[in-house]
Amino acid sequence: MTWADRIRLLRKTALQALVLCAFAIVPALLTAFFHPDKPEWDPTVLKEGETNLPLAISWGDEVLWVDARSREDYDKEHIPGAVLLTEDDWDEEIEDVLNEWLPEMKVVVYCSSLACQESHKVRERLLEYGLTEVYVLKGGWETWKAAVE
Amino acid sequence: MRTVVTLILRILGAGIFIYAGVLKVWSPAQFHVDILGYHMVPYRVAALMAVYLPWLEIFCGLCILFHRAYMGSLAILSGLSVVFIVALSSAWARGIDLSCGCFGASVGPTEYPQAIALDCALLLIFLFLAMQELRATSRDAQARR
Repeated sequence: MTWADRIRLLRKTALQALVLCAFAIVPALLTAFFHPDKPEWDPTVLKEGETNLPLAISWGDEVLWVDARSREDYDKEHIPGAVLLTEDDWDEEIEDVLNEWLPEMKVVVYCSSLACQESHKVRERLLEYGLTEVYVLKGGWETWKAAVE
Repeated sequence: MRTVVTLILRILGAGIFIYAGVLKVWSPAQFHVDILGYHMVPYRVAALMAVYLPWLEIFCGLCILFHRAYMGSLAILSGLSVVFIVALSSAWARGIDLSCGCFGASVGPTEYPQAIALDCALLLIFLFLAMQELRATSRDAQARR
């Protein structure tokens, strides 16, 4: 194979790769706009004090997960590293939360589903404690569970 | 014999990427979460990758399977394999407990050695196929002279 052949083959390969990359854009756009399970494009489209799972995960180790469900549910299964904090046993459990919390951390509170309100109540109380970066996980435990399954 | 081996490797390599691509296309939101788990790209870049990469994998897999735009497809899938190896190794080195997103919906924490070994094997398959194609092209060029 001469150098001219090699260069021709390299050009052909590069052109083929470019065309393939271009072709993939069309279905990708359709997926982005019309797929029923498309990614959440704008992480800011959330109610005040809410976050979603991808955004919370993107914060990495700077997150303290707080489980606002019942102790029974928590004992059964919870997000790894999450600390239990319920309205019922607030005085006992808040100690654990404050022990785990560091000032640079974002606190993400979750309850069982999109409809539950415990996480919002716990968030309000944590804000009263002077914590500023406290968020409710949109979709709660159900979202997490769906993601890991 | 060599032709049979090449054909088997073509079907295997292409089939794995097509299968992985289809699973990811099924649930782009989940793949988005998986990509973010690596902590390597910003939120919106991860979203773009989640809708784009699976289709690229499917298209390239099909092209390899049907021997169309063959070298271009091999180049892309080899490149993707390298990217996956680097991403997995980086996450492993940083001690991140993640679902690799290799085959769509999360199936729990990834076993890094297995996932990296699979990507290395795929990379070797594609390099082998590219070498075979180069030899064939070279033979054709010589025959024409």
